[in-house]
Amino acid sequence: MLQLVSNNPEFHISDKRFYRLAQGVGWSVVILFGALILSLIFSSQESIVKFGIGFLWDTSWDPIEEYYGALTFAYGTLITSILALAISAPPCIALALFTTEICHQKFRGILAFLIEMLAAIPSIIYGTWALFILAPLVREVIFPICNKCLPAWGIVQGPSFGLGILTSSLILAIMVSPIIATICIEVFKAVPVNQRYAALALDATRWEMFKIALLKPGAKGILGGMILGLGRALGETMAVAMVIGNAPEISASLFGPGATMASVIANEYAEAVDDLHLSSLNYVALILFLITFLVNILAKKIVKRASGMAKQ
Amino acid sequence: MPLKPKERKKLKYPVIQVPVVIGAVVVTFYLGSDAPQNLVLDGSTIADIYLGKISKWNDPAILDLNPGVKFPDLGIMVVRRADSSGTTAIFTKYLSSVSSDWKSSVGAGKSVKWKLGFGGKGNDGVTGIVKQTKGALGYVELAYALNSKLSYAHLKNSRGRVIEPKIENVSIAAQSLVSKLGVDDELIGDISNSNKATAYPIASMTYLLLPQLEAKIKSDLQLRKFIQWAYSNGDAQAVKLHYAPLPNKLKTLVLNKLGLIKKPEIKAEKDAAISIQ
Repeated sequence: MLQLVSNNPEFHISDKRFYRLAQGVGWSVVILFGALILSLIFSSQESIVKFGIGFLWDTSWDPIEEYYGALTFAYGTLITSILALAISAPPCIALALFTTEICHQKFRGILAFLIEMLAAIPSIIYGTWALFILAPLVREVIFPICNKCLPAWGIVQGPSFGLGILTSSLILAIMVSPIIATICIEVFKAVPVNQRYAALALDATRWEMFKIALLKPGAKGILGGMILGLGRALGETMAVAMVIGNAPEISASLFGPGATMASVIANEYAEAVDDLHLSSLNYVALILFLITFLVNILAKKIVKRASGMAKQ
Repeated sequence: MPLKPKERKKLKYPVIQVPVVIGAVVVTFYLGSDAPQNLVLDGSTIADIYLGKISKWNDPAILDLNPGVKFPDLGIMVVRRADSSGTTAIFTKYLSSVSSDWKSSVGAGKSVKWKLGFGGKGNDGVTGIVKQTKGALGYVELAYALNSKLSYAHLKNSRGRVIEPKIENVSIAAQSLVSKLGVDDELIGDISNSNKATAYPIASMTYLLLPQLEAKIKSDLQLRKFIQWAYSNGDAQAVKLHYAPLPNKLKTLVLNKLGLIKKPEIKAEKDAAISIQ
């Protein structure tokens, strides 16, 4: 098809020009991507040479001794993102079901629009809100409740000052919810109406119809939406940096402070003067980039396979 | 903080650094509006709080320093900087000079490996966290504590006197250093934990960096005029912004160093001392 456009003399010159332009823009994305990886590798070279792959599982981060490792940040990123996903996915699926199936036709558009608007709020606003509303809530309400219900587990250790892993996960959960909910809405919309009728005709209740006609066939799409949300959570910087407590430590308690890969870069990059410090921050960035990249590829694959199945 | 020799080497051309004003770092805290607003601390207690050895507000060490004040049975939320910062350098330098424990296990620097605590980005990040958490204690530049109306601790200095971080007490912190400086010395130095009786202990000078191109600064009349004006008229404005002006002798030394006035007739005390011996 493309070959036809470029070589076929019957096509108008402007078509050919547009083809070249589009091709150029397309390639520039590929080049940009490669250049990004190369420059990250180049700028983290010193750290890569000094710490090697062991950087990934070293927990120390000591600017005075000039010894760096990324495990605490990788842990912080993964735990907050996964928790955020676990917290936000069930309500998001329910929200999508409500929007597509239950709510009155008139309000569907409005509701979907509002959900999408949530994604447009800048993360600094989410962060400020988390610092001033969510953190006191965690400190005064959630921590005392958890402390009573789960005393011996070790994931609830006080004192809670409001900032920490759980607060970050909660704000991330809110921030990823528009992505997950929007994709779930699209997934449910793609399910043919007849499938719903078929389920109802088999004497299914409404809830059973949701299960067999929507959730089961849509499972892969929902999973893909969750992984896209995970990608967003992994990279979220500002809001997390404001409430996670920014301590490079692995704390068993959900109420303890931590740090993520993105938050440590945001906090330390501007003021880092030593070459090795800067280079280690770049190394952290490289790892974050690769993780996010892999997660997104995974999501694309899952969503593609899910939509392929829906077409059959 | 003055540039270290290593950092100066990286610059493209030599720079001259001269002190401009003196800043104080205060230990700020929040215990709620119904709790005590006055707090007296000393260096080793602050070090122990930041090392995690003191974790409650009603710890005997704190109660001993504040006789008659009732502190709640509340955990101390230790707040510090998440980014690398001159404020941290001043604070950790002070802790290193008063606590050998701190010196050996953490040390001093613009960013250090903290034993515990919550990090805020920038002075305003720390201020924000302290201001909205009951039981929080952090360190910020004096101006930030004053502007956001946070309570701050009065500190026991090296002479055992309890000193409020007031401009005049901060200015005095520079005096013992200044009395040692001569006309030809580099005008940098540590003024924390001063031995003057009324000096506030956590202070540092901030520096002006100028390209050390004689020709350039001589030809640059406007810059010269401005610097001269600033040193002779800027004190009131510095005070308004909660920075302490330099002692007069130091100002004269600075202007001399920049070639703005003729070599003053100031004898350094250490020179005098040597000649007496």
